[in-house]
Amino acid sequence: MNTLIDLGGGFASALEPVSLAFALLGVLLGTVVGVLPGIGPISAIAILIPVSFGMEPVHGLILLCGIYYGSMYGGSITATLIKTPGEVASAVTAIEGYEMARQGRGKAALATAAIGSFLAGTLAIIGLTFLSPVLVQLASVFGATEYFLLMATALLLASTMSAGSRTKALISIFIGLAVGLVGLDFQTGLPRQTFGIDLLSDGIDFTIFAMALFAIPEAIRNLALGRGAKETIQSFGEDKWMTKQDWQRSAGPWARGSVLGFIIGVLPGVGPSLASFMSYIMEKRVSKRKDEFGHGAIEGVAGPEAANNAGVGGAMIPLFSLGIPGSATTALLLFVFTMYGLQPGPLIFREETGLIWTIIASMYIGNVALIILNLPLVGVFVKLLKMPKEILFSAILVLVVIGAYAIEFSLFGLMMLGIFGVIGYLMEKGGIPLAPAILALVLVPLLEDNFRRMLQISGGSFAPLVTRPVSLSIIILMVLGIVGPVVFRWWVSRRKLLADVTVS
Amino acid sequence: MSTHRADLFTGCAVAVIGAVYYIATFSIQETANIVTPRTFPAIVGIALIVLGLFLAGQAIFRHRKNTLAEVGAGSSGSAEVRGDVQRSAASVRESSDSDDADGGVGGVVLEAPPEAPARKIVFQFVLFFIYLAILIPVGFLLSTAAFLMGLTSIYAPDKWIRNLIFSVAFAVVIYVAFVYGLAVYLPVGILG
Amino acid sequence: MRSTTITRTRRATSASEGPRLNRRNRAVAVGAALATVALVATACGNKAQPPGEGGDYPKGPVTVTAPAEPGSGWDTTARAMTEALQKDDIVTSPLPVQNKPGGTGCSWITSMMQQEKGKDDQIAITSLASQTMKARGLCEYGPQDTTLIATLYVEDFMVVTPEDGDFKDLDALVKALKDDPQKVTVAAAGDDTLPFALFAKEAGIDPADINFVNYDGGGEQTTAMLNGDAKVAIAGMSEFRSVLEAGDITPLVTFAEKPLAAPFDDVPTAKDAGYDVTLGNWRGVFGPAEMPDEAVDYWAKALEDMSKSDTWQDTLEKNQWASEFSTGDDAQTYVDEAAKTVEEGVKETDLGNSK
Repeated sequence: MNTLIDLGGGFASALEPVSLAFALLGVLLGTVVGVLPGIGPISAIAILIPVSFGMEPVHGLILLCGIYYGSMYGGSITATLIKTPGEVASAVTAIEGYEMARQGRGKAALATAAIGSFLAGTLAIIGLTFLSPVLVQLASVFGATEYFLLMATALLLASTMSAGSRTKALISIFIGLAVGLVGLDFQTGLPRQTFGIDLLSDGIDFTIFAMALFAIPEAIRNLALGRGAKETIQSFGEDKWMTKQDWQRSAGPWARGSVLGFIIGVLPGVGPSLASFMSYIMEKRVSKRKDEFGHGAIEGVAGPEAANNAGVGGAMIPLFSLGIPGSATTALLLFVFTMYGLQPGPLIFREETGLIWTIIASMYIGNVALIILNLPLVGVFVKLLKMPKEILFSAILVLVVIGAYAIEFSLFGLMMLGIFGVIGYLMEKGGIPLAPAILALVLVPLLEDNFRRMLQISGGSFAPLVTRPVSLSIIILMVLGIVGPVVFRWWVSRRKLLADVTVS
Repeated sequence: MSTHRADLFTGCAVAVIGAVYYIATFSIQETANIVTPRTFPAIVGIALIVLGLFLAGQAIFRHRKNTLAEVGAGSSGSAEVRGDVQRSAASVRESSDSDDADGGVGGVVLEAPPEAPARKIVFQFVLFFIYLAILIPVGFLLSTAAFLMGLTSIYAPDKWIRNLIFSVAFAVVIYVAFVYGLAVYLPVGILG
Repeated sequence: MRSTTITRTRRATSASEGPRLNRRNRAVAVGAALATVALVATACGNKAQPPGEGGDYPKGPVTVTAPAEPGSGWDTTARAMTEALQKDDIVTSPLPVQNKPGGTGCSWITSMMQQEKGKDDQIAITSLASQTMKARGLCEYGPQDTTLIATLYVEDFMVVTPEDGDFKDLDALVKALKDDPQKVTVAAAGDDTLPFALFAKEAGIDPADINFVNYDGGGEQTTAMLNGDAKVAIAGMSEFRSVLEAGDITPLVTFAEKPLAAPFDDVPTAKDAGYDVTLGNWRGVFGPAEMPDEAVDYWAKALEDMSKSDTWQDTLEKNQWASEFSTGDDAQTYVDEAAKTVEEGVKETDLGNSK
């Protein structure tokens, strides 16, 4: 019960009018920054770090948390409306969200994203409050072997993300892996696959890759169609709010996404991006409307958006308890916490009660501010799509270019954007889905590092895969998950066949 | 282009990319580790070759099967249609490709976007690359206004006044917002 | 609230406009530019800008570069340093922090030696890692070749093991390493393997036999020890501070020159234990090649003032960094010496890099 008292104390300091004002300001700034391509949560937080040092710790933390949440949501807005994901976690949203927007259901998509984020964020904070000590154990049974297996499973599952040929989905995954391996090897610092071009040694930026693959082919294709062709974005005259059916269809994904996202988020280094992809895959598997996926299924927005926000909450557990930042953004937050005198570690919940509960309370308030601010704005954002097609898509191209420029500040970065734009177009043309490549690009460092660690530890033997209890259970689950449905289908069809035979 | 020919082409292209990628791994410095920095890129290169060839092989195999079926049936009906039917029958998961424009699978499915002529696509990409190339030397304001004016005028030449206003205004607003609002310095170019 | 932000921003821009905008091809990282805004925003609240004319340096903003990602070691050093410089009004011109990751710092050090040559509005953070890059032949320049301004602090390397692990003390570790080095997995981040390899060599074990497993920072290393993937780990001691205090892991040896401060004063130094290895991960500040003397002197003085300030002392303590402040020839000597150790280490231990 002490937890509740401490949390109450945290809220008391976070709920003063000034704090609330900072929360709203943070969310607003974050949303604006998140909407602009190329400027994600990292830059936003980096800007405001010096400002926040001049403020009371509570206010500084509230401001930064607000910005973090706001920019995450801002990324989903552009992913949904113009198929331009600003960061990893919202890449999945671009798949179904954009399709929904094309069908005039943009409002519903943005609303389900906002509500899902809010619910999941809330659940994750409750989880963080009460389950930290238990869940931190999870991090300590997950070794290199388990991580490798988890990543491999995720990629394997990613081949079922899109409709169409499995071979093509696998090709997409390997293209993503191939691109992700370009640059300096993390372990030895040696250059790889740079084709002698020095500028490639830093690898290919995720945001440039995702923007190029998603946004550019879409914009170019629409512009090339010219007038007279059928409008691809429909009239938004009666863009509807979430219907009763939308609510019913979103509820399950919100709940599943929250739980899944939270658990995946706890694993250090994996974080929210994998959570949103996995949630999409899961929703597609459990859905009764599989064929709607890829054509604007609301589950494909609700689940991943919930999962990525829950993942952010989950990622705070290893951050607070072990001092392990799961991503560049959390690393930056960790630095801020340290500067405020917070020393993350197993003792944090015992020794630093005042500050830590303030942080948790401010995360909560950032979350509330997000939904208060953004739900009314959904309608405004959607109006943007009413612009004439040629204006909308040429403006998107310009924004994407600025985004790429703000990341690299060089002709090289701009050319990468153009080249991957062409590659994205050709992939789509060849029927190769784009999303698996993006997931693969994100996961390749985790996959490779842990594979190398596993073999380094075992001296080159693959035995740990089956001798470690946790990894063995993952393998068994994987086999059941993949072989199970096949066997079941075979059994069902056999019975049907038998029945037919009997009848005739 | 028919599906099998498109797949044949895609498969071969992927295999070639895989081969180039694999050859590039030979220039990675070897180390004494158990898994060297070369291991993963090499696996990826080989996998791309294999998958590409598999896709191409699949296409050839299906094409042959379709042709055989056609001969066997002795009908002059479209082999394409039949091919597609068999394709979907061949694999439970496989639904027809999105560019087949047969969105009739689900209830609310929107029709897939119609295909633009390749010539126009190439032209749009060329314009885009010109914009990327001149952005830094010419500067953001001029190049962006020109790029926007170009795109919108090709699309809707009759509305040139609106296009001009939009192109200039958008470039200026974005420039001001980024440079003065966010202190992200966009290239000034010849205006500087 | 919102309007305040906008006015602040405007002022920030005009302040930094001068030297920056006419160099059109120069890349200015977004973080840097954005940070200018923020820094000026804090700065203009309580004091005036330095006069723009006369002989006094600096005339405009001076960019502080962290040649790595935000949140990295170099980045935190850069941010903590500018914070201390500005908070106590030691430097009143804006100090935007920019991130220029690339080739473990090599890209930026090369720029400072070539493109930025002779300039006075650039300083950057560097450390031992850049020396290893040079020693391995992966970078043309090392910190010792630059206009070194100061060394700031050092993070002493420490070898740690889980509390209930296999090794009670250093002797147990050495014995296990001699028996079967393959079984003793050592978690290390990148080039942190170097001091351990040197130590192994001193103990009569072939460094090439050590089973190093690569991890990214203390958090990952700690998890790896707790889940049994790694038997011991080596890193700068601040990486392990919180888990050390909690008692989940224990220190075996440090490569510091003198015994550590309490509560780690009973941790043996390698030297005392009979292994002659002394190496710490120092962090320092450098300027462009041929930086004007006026600027070098200014920064040496400013950093010296900063090193004595309460803010900086507080930062050192919070982050568990040991002060190692020196400027001018002292700094150069310190860095040259470290370079020698690194070169020797890289040559003899091969750093898992044999062909």
